[in-house]
Amino acid sequence: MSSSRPISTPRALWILTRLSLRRHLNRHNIRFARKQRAFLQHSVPTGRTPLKNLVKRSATPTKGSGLPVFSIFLFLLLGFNGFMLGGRGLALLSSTVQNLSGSTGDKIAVTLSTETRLKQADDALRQVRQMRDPVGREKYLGMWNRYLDGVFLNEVRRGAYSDEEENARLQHMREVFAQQGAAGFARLDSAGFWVSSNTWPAAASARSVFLIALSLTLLLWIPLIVFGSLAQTTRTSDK
Amino acid sequence: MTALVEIDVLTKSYGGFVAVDDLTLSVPSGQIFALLGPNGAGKTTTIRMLMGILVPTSGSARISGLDCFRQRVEVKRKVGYLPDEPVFYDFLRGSEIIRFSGEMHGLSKAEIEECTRPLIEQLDLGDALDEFAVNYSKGMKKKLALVCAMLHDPALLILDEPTNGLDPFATRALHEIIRGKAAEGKTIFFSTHLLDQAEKLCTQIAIIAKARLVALGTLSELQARLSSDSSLEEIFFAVASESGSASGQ
Repeated sequence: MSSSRPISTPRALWILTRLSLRRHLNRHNIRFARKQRAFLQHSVPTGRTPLKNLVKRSATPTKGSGLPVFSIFLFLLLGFNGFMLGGRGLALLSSTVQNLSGSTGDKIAVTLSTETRLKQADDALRQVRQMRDPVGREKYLGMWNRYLDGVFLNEVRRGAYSDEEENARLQHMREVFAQQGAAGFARLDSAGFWVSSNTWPAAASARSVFLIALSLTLLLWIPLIVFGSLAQTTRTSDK
Repeated sequence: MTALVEIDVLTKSYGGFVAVDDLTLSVPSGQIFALLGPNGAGKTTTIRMLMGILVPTSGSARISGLDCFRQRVEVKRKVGYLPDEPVFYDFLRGSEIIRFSGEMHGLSKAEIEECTRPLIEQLDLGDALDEFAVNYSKGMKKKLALVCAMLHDPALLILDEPTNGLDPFATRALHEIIRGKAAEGKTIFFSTHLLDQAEKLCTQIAIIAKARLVALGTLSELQARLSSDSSLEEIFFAVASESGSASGQ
């Protein structure tokens, strides 16, 4: 009786993927072995080397020895680029997720410089309001309010809003500042250049969104590699 | 005796050209069955329909009761197939191809090793297994394909011109393997145009010429159709020429 047993589809896919990888590996090994053989044939022989090995190839130009060095340099460069792009992608994903998932709560998101200026203005206004001299108090209150208007205007003009939207946003910012002061504003997280401990979102909701986004990216990426490889295998076998 | 292979009014045509015409035969279990015929008679087309590679124009072919086209995956589990010209993936060594074939049959590494070792020794293939299969000679490719066809110990072996390209040593080894498998109760269905091979090995012979079955039976039954001491060669030429003159009329 035949000992053949049915195999599952994932198992069949795994065998085909492994076969495809094995073929790629063999192809690269052959290429490397050929280069190594060529290098050994053209290196200066020492000791009791057979005479035939001393014969140098003259009809065709020899391959430059600089090529492997260049290849290594290129390989390292590509590796570094891949590392940088991957790291930057992770940092951007983390930053987007943290901003999207509302880590600023009901606060208005502003840039770091705006946040600093608002804190400074809030402190100053608190001191001004405590001034006993009403004339001086009005004078400084007016100065700081004009300063605040400038800060809000700069912040609003960073976004591409229409005139009406700008006015509405400015009004909203003024109201929030009047009610809550600088505490009504929160810094918009910008993506760090490097992957760091901050890349891992602190908030639980942001963390779950980050994990889902990362898993989806990987899930889409793996089938792309597997099916791309299988398509290559099929195309080669068709040939 | 139950029929393992049943071919019933099988026809394959390509437009106006008929490659196999109303072929009907059955092969009982445990037989060595030879499909004899000149080049272009329809032997390989018949075998390809048995393996589910070609769709019959009409009629049916069944192996162990399974339809050869509709149930071709199940059929392949019961059959070991040696094509006339085996083709392998490039950049794979002989050992890697054997392992791949075995794994696709659901065999473990140890089972593959156990099943193939005696075959590899018998066919003297051991030294070549670390070489890439595309670099093999035709005979070596045939040996490798034979190992792949037999590694799951199938009940039926379908061999298309099995000794084509083999050296005399390998041919003898293959004959021994075929006899050994028949002794184990396996069925061997092979096509050939080598009459002496069919005469030496077979228990049943079918002769096809110009896409039609012209003779079927044991060697003694075929001899009885002519004179009692005719060789297979004489029988073959007699029935093939009968068929030629019949189709010419």
